[in-house]
Amino acid sequence: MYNRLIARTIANRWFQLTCQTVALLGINGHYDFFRTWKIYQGKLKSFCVPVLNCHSCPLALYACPIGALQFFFMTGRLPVYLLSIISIFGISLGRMGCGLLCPFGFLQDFLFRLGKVRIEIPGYWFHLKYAVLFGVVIALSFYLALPAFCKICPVALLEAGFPLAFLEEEVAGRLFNQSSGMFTGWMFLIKTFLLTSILIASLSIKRPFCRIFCPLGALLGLFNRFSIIHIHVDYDTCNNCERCERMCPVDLNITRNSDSAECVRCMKCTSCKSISTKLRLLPLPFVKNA
Amino acid sequence: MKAFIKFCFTTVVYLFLFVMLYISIVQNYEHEEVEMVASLICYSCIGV
Repeated sequence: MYNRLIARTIANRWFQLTCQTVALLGINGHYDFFRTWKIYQGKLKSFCVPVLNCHSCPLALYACPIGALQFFFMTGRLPVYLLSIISIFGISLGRMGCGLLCPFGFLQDFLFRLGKVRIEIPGYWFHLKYAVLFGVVIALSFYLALPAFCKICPVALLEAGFPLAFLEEEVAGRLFNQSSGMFTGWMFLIKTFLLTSILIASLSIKRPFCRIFCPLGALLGLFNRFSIIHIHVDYDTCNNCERCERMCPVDLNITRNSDSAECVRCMKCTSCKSISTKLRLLPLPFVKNA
Repeated sequence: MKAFIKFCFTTVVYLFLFVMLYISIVQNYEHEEVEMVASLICYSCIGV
């Protein structure tokens, strides 16, 4: 029985790794960039994927949902089209995009495996991502008429900022004053500091960006409670061994709340015989374990 | 019987939601603003 548990754990880990690798290569699949040196701006870019993947990334094929949402708020229009796409992903999968598809989540998972020291963060820190979603992505973008979150987004810096600053002279030139040649890219330095801090923190803390800052995680997490695919816990066979909490990439004890907004639906906990993935039978939030 | 009613109710609710969302996407896809999303290449990624 113990061997079966180990086999399922390894299978789930490989499943997640395969999904993350395929998503990384698929979402960033504009390999024609190396021939044309031009960012893709075709039909696919009108479509969003449920992951935080910067659309200014030289290899990106799809738009970033948060970047595109801000664009609509900047122009003062209701983003019906984008909210519909996000809702379809959310109602079907909940936060599964975070656990199985997000390239930055993949990087944080990888870094955590390299680290030796383990630090747990208090639960109230997780509320900060809702402040980022409503305060920065919606309110600041609307009032300042600029993509406020993109200005501080560490994912954008890693996927687009660094490659473009190195590859395109025009972009690198924007970091300097044209007449005096003085360095003016202070936000670039602040973003670099933020990104470095998050990457260092990822060595000791499980997915710090996803749990504390990610506005897309906050938005998709709202759908976890009624998404069609959900985690089901069989309380009759659960012996509270807390193995699910130890293997969870966000330190969540799924047996306490299987519809938690923090769950990234990576499916690792389903290696336990008491936990499984199911299609929801009753979409009412107040009915537990339907 | 109760489970079957629950299943039918859920299917109808989710189907309704998906059809509504699909219509919303199709209706808005050809819109000018959606085309602008495709051309949304800014320099916010470097913070300027």
